Amino acid sequence: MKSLAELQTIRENTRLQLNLRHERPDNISVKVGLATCGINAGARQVLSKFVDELAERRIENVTVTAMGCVEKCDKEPIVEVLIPGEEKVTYVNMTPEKAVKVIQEHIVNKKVVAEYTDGASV
Amino acid sequence: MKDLSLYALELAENSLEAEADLVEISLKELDAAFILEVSDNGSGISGDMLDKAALAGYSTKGCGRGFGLSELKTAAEKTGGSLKLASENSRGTRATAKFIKNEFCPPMGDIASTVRLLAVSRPDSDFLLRLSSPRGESLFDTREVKNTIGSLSITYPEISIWIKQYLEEQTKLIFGGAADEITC
Repeated sequence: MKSLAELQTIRENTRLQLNLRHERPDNISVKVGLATCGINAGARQVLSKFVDELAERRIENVTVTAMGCVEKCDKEPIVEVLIPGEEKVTYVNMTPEKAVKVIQEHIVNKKVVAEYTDGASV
Repeated sequence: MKDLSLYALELAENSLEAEADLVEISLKELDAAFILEVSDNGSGISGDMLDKAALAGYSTKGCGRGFGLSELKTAAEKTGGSLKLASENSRGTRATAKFIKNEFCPPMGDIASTVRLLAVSRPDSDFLLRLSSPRGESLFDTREVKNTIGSLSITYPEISIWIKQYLEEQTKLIFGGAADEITC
């Protein structure tokens, strides 16, 4: 059985590392559309993949949040990636598999996956 | 066909759009029915809008919006169940969907995934998950998690993984079977 006491241990183990890092200026933002249109198109699985992959890779400078409808319902699931100092990139018709590629290429290696972006898929 | 856990996610997102910062999701298995209830402390719905809220296409938000509640209502009624909305203006909203167990009842789906994703993708809001069945009851509260981890963020990888494993374990305990396998 898992218990809250384990959270206490995680907290103690990470306290030291966190002190060294403090406010990171390079925080990357990933937003996944989670309105009705997004959910119907499979957005939860996409969001889940981002959260799982980033956690498993111990990538800590990425904040994954949900966002509302951006009025492009036929292109859901939609994912926005914002790297500070760069232009926002909007990926459309996302899948869990595409999410992994976006993490590998865009988030880790800073190369936009052009084929998944809004303009490319039309 | 959408499962109950996806309806729960959708209702919770509605709550957050109504500026709720505390959302309670309850999934209760009775002998002959499943009850999904989502309540929040958001801005509430006024009386006349409450009647229209579950009509197909009715929305105050524009675009392809306004189908979530009507979809849920249709799905619940198809089983012989119902969707009830209650709200005291500016004092939150409660949506209660009753699904009778029969061949029309959607599967429960991965409720652990729904709540874990809400918890880590909406770190400024709090979520409560109540699971109950004849096997027992379970309560998960992100406020309790946050109190325990102190200054560490709930989005931190190790915490996010812990929440996932914890909720999957609780789901199995209460409903039996793996999180996404349970049907009515």
